[in-house]
Amino acid sequence: MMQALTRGLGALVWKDLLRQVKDVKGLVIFMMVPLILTFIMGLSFGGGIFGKSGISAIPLALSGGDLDQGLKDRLTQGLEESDLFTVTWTDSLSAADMVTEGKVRAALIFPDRLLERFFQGEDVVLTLWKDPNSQVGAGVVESILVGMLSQFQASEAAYRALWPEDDPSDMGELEEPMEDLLSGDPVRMIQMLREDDGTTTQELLDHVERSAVFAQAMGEPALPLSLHDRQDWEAESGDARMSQNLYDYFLPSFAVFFMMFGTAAVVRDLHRERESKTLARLLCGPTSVGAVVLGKWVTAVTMATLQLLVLLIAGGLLFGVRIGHAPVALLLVSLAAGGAASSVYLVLGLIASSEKVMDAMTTVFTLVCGMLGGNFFPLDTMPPALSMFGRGTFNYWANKAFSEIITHGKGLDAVTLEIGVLVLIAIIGVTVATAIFSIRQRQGVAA
Amino acid sequence: MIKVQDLVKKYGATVAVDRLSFSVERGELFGLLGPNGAGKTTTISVLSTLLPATAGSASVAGFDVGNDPDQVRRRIGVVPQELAVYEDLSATENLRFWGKLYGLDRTQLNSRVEEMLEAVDLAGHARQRVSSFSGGMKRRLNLACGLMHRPEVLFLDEPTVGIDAQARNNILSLIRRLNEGGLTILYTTHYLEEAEQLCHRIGVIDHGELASLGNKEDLIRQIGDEDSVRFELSGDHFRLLEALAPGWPDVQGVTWNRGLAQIRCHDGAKVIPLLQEWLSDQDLPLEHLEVERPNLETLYLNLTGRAHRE
Amino acid sequence: MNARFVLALVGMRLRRIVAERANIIWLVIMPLIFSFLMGMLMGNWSQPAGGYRYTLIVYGAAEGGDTVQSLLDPLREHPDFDLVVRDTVTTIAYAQLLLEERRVSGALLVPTGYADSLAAGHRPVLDFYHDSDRTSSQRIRQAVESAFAAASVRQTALKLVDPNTDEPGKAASFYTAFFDSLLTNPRVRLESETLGRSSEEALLLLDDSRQHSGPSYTLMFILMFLLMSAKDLVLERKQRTLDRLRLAHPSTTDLVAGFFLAGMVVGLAQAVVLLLFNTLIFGIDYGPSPGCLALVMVLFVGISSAAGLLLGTLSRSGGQADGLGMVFGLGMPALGGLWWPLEIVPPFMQNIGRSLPTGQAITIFHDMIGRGWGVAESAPLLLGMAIWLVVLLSLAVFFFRRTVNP
Repeated sequence: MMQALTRGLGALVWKDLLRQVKDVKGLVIFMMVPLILTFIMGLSFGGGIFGKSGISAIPLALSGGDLDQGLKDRLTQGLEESDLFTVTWTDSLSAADMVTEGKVRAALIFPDRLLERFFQGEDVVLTLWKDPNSQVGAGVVESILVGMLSQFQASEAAYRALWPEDDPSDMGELEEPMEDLLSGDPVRMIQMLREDDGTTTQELLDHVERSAVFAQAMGEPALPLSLHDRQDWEAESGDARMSQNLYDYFLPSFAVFFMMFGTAAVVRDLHRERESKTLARLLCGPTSVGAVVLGKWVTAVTMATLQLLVLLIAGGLLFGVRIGHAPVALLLVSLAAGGAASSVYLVLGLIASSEKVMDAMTTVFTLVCGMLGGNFFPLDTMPPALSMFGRGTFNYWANKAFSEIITHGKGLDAVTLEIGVLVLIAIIGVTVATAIFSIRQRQGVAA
Repeated sequence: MIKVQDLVKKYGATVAVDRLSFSVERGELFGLLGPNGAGKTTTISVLSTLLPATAGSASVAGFDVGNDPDQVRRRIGVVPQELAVYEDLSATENLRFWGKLYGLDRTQLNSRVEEMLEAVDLAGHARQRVSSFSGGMKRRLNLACGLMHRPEVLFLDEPTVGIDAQARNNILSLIRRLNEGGLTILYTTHYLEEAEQLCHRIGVIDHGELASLGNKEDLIRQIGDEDSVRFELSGDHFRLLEALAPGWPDVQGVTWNRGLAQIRCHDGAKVIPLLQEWLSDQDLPLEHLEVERPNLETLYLNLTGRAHRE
Repeated sequence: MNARFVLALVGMRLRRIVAERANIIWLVIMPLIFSFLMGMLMGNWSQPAGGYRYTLIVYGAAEGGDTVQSLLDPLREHPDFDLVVRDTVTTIAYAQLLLEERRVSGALLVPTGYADSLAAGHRPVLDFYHDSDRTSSQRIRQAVESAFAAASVRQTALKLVDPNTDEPGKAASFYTAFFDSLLTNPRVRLESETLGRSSEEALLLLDDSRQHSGPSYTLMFILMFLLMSAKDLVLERKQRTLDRLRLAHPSTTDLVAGFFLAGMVVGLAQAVVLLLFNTLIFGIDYGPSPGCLALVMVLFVGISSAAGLLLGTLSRSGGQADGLGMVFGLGMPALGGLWWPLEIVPPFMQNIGRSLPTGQAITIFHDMIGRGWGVAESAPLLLGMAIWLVVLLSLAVFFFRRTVNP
């Protein structure tokens, strides 16, 4: 039976691969389109030889006209040290214009007489104006400011819960020294206090002492929280990774996506052979139906695997995506993914009545499965109902396997389930395709 | 080598082949002649195991096409009407592929490819892509692909469609040589002259039915050995001729239809001088004279009821 | 120009496009599916998509006493995730496994004897396990850190309570209710406001990502369809029907106009259908300037049609036209910010994106939707698009003439 199934298989595969290779233009497009697009993505998200990427240098406007220049400088330095922001100081009207015109992502407006108000116990409201067209950048600014402010708010609440008698409205005399302190000149602050002509009250001195003790205590939190990131414990287990960025996720998932399109294009040849009558000629020969189906499948698997590997290697060389630590696993996943994709598209191709119908079907199928299977978005960002459907797609398992290897530095043992599922899909798909083709051949409608 | 008995093939309600029966002997070149849509390609498709028959039986090289299709496929070569070659490959690559498919080993393959390229006069274009070939070259390659494995029976489905006269002649010569070498050939065509030139026997098929079968002489004999002499004549003058002509030697009958008179006779050459004399006596000219001898075209037209080139 | 000929050619092209039923998939169905699904996937920019809730699991809660309970209180009703509390402790390996298998998005481990250790004056450590690769885990981490900050400050402050001493820096007591109320109503606070059009003016929240995905995929599929139609022109050349057209009338301007205008009609019809669908089904609001909307769509469709014409003229085969059509049909949306917002890519990529018609068009859309801009404010970008149109059309005409009159 195996002999009957495979008779002529070698010749069929050789013929189809030769035709693929000879179609230089098609081959270039088959490889070039995904390479170009992943290159664009790499430039957008990746690092590697093109340097760091990610969200950085968010233009931010600050407005606080009567703030001391030294204070402004310290604020600017603190914000720009993180590489997240580029800061421009301006007045509030200009800041509003800059936000509405999209020149900055957000503007933080300090109210006039900020320190005076603060030390007189007034409420202080900082205003953040966000660019409506910049939800990402403006969102980053807001979340960072909220984080910083929440720490300050908790500290102030705790201080006042300890010493409610320390009325903030009595702190007016601290304004000038505090400016010195915040401007980076604590020496001058202390000198001022020491040179005080006697009008500095005991209460004020107590407040300064309490603040010092409080600040020292806050330096050592009572409830230490130790954060453990997955990439750290994986690094500890020897899976050290290179720069981590969105591209590490998107390269393999888009490689799988393009592989899906490429596989559909190879399988489409079945309809071309039918129209050119070479398929009829094949069926008049000694090759079995199974061999014809297998021949197309093997060709498609070869091309799909080749495409995946080229994209992954290019990503590794150009953008530092980690691919070298588990080459066997990568190869097996690529083969399994190619096998599953080829068998699924073979079934679709045999169901379709013509090349045009197949074109439309496979395109819709690829785009929808791509979305559901996590090729465009990390799976955990999807609603549960959608991600449930996603798990039924073959590309979900391919994405998952690549993610484990490339993003999390795992090896073969971590992806055996995914490979198994893909192989199972491949076997089922080829079996179904062969059955469909056999039935059609017996009915006389295969060619 | 080929036996077809009451073969029926239906596509839904449409009957493409209707109780077709014929046989082809070993070494024979059998022609299946019919207009477009007559059922020729369907017949070949059934015999080459591409289509299942609806009813009836057929066997090729001693094997039933329905029960032993694998055995049949090993022994037949098919040259379809369409150019079933891979245009993105070269001639050599095409031939090598079909040879490999039929199990030729490397040594056999190499020599056979050379042989076929020589036979179809494509040796000088062996490495060229088929897409750059002319129509005739593609047809020759198409033929060669069907012969790579030395089949016992060759099915040729209108192999000369769409090519010029010279290319056609080349292909017909090649087919003749193949048959002279002992190859059994079933040849379908709608070109009368091809069937006349090539085939030992011809089956005329229309609407899926075999209208007539036999060699050329047998077929012509079916429509009789009468000549038809036709010419223009008014109705009034025909009445005079009708009374006179039956008395002329070997005249079988005289008819008139819409200004055209027809005299059926054994030998038109004898009747024409008599006709000329009578017309002269009547002071009438002899206009639009036609003399038709019994031939295959007449039979074909009679049987299929339409012009043989549509 | 022979208007009758041009109209006949346009009519013929349209009939052929409409006759091909599969085209409806590219023209309408796929853009709508994409807009809807991508909008649902991306969700609200600042919140998880589609109301999906993730899980933060806490092990050893019974060991944490009141301190841990008070830490967990602000996390119980968090809108972004579910809090699952287990009294028993667990191992680090198990917590790591839960994260690796994506069964949870964060795991907080309370060690045995935590409350006792705290009471004894020690500083036992709580361990929080997360996965910075996952957005869900990042959000949970921010929430945990924020809750921790308040709890830790509170706990630290409690250490400064000593009613039996006059030492500076020691307090008589800690007023918990006062602390909680100050935390809820802080004196120093941040108020944020999105400038531009207010939410009341727009039918849909401005931070809903469908405001981006709707126009993005409308633009992308218009461009893709017209680029992929380039192969029709190639086929007309190969099948010699183009020669036949030339024999009917000698003016190449008429021919170019016919093909170009046919693309315009298809593109504009597609645009109207999709933009309408986007508004009616997804509630997308294009802002207060219909004139600007019309102008940007006319220019974009014109650019796409001219690009398709140029591609069809330059390509030597249908396969080449298809391939190049895909390169530009996917590359320009990627570069131009139709797939992801331009602001998240490096500045040099943003500049490239905004110099392309796709980047210009989507920026105009964002400005219309978010800022309520009209023609005057968008004039520079509209001019940029007009320049693209003139350049592409001129090139198309030039090469078309050379093709038909070699």
